[in-house]
Amino acid sequence: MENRQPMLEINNLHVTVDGKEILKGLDLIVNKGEIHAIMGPNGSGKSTLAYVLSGKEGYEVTAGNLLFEGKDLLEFSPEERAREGIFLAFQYPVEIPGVNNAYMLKAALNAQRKHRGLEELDAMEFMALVKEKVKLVQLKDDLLQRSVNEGFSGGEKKRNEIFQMAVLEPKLAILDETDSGLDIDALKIVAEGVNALRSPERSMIMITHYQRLLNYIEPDFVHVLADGRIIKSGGKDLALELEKRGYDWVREEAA
Amino acid sequence: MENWLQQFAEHRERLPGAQQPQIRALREESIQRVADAGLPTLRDEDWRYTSLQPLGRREFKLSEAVSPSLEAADLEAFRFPELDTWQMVFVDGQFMPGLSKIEDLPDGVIVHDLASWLVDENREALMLRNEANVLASLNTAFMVDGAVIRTRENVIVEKPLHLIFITTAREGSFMVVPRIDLRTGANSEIRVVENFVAMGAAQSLTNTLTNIVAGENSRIEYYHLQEESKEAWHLANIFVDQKQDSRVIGHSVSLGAALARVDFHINLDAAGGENILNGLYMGKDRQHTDHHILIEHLSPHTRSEQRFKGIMDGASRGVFNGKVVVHEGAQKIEAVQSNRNLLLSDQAEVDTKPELEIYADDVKCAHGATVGQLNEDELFYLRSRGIGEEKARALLTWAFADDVISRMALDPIRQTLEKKLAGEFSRTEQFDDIRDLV
Repeated sequence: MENRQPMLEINNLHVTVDGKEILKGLDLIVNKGEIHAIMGPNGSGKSTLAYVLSGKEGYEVTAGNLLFEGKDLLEFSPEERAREGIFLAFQYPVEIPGVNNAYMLKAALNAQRKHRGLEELDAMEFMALVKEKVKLVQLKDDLLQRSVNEGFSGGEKKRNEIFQMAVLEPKLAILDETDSGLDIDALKIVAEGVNALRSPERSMIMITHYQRLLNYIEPDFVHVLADGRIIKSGGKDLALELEKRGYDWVREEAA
Repeated sequence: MENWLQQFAEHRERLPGAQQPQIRALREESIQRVADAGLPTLRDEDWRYTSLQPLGRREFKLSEAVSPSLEAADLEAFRFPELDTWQMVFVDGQFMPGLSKIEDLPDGVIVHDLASWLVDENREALMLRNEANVLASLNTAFMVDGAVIRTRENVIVEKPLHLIFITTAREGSFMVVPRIDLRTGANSEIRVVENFVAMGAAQSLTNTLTNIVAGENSRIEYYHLQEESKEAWHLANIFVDQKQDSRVIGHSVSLGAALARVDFHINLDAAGGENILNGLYMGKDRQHTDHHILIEHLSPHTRSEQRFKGIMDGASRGVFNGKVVVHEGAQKIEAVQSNRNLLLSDQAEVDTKPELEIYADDVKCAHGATVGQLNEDELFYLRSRGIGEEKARALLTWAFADDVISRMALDPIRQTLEKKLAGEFSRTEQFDDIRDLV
């Protein structure tokens, strides 16, 4: 953490979904190169945070602000956020019948490159890149030529998310419950993929329910999200304590 | 109606085959049927959503001898790149031998223009099966030109036959009346592409009729590609009779015309017959497109499958009616029917009605219909990767449509249509390499 440049600043964020307040004054600063784990019980607002960062419709910010590299994120559409360097690895990646996985990713990468003033890759260059990145998550080649996530196993879907992240090389990756539903072997592959993408230039937010993931991807900070706010922050030891003692003691402490 | 009766009176002596008593009688009988029945109205169950009343009010003059200044180069736009075909070209309803390629056909294949077939008394009679269909009767009364196609038994026709029906932007409204008569011999195989296209904003009424008899164990792949002018009316009746073990695959793509109505009437007459229909219809602005399909399982061990998709934008309207009838004693039937529709605007509308009528007990039938919008989660997923909203929408729409197109066996047709669709779905985004990575 030599360079304490803030990548993401969340100030007093209030978010309402369908008229119900889910985030109630959330504060978080993620500096360049840091990995933050956000843990919390079900319904605490973890996925809401992921969606609001990536710009999904239906999440109304009623107060507070979101700054990404100093820019107001709320001014940006989902695609603009992606092009600025934000990537969301979905908890439940959707299947998109008829849209080829590789085609989708090439269109995405080139849209991002164009935004950054870089040359677009042609099919050959893109396939070369894909061949290199796909090894990272041990995804079978033929899955790339299939429709996006269609007929993929749960583990394959999650690996596909990390594979996309490897190709798109975001500045900030948000991993939403990337570990859920994975057996230990699949989890190791996903974690290795993520670790390979760690860099002083890249920040990550890992949203998880289980401490298990943090055995394989070591965070710099652990935060507890409960009732729409971060009620405790600490180092990776906090995760172990949560695993042992549950969330109630933190809540009591915060109260 | 008056207009048609009057036109018939004017043309009866000049229509092809007028000197043949049989054909003459047939035409007279047909026009009488039209006069008696009148045009269908919205009160007819089969015409509940599609009104032909404006037809009666407008004067479509039967297109007669034309002197088109078309040259072979003008046809390039309508041909499929890298697809070697036999070809018949019709301009405003008339066969153009100079633009066609049906000489040197292999042995055992007859491809002939209809007009001279009707004139020649030595020719085998056409298949006639008008039933209670007024538009079919109207076609028989006025049929001007078209194609007669025969394959002898065991003949495999390697090259597809491409029938290009071109309408041109002439003065006033006019009517073209093509008729296609296809009969395959046992164990033979042929692919026929009917392609309805326009040069300019032709104000045409096409009333086309195709009669197909698929001989025993023969194979037919049939394409009905409708890209008429946005001012045009397109009415089509396709009758198919299938003999034992025959297999007919049909593709219907409806992109053009102000109003299009396409009816398939399929008879599975004998055991082992299989009929597969794929369809894609698209509407924009105020276009109206209607598909009616009737499948009659008349014999045991027959199979049918219809997969139709519609994409309606603007204030367009799509209609789908698919009826599968399994007749008494027709056991061991398999019938699958699906109709899925995508609405791209609030003003667009779809009326879909899949129907099953089953009078046998040992059958396997499934049907379903959906009408929906683009999936928001899919849209968000693509956008969250950096793909712009317009492109994401176009991509999802394309994928929806391509599911139908991708089942076409003739690759050059598939590719041409895919490119065309991509252009339809997005004005600003390029799709040229959409298939490269597949």
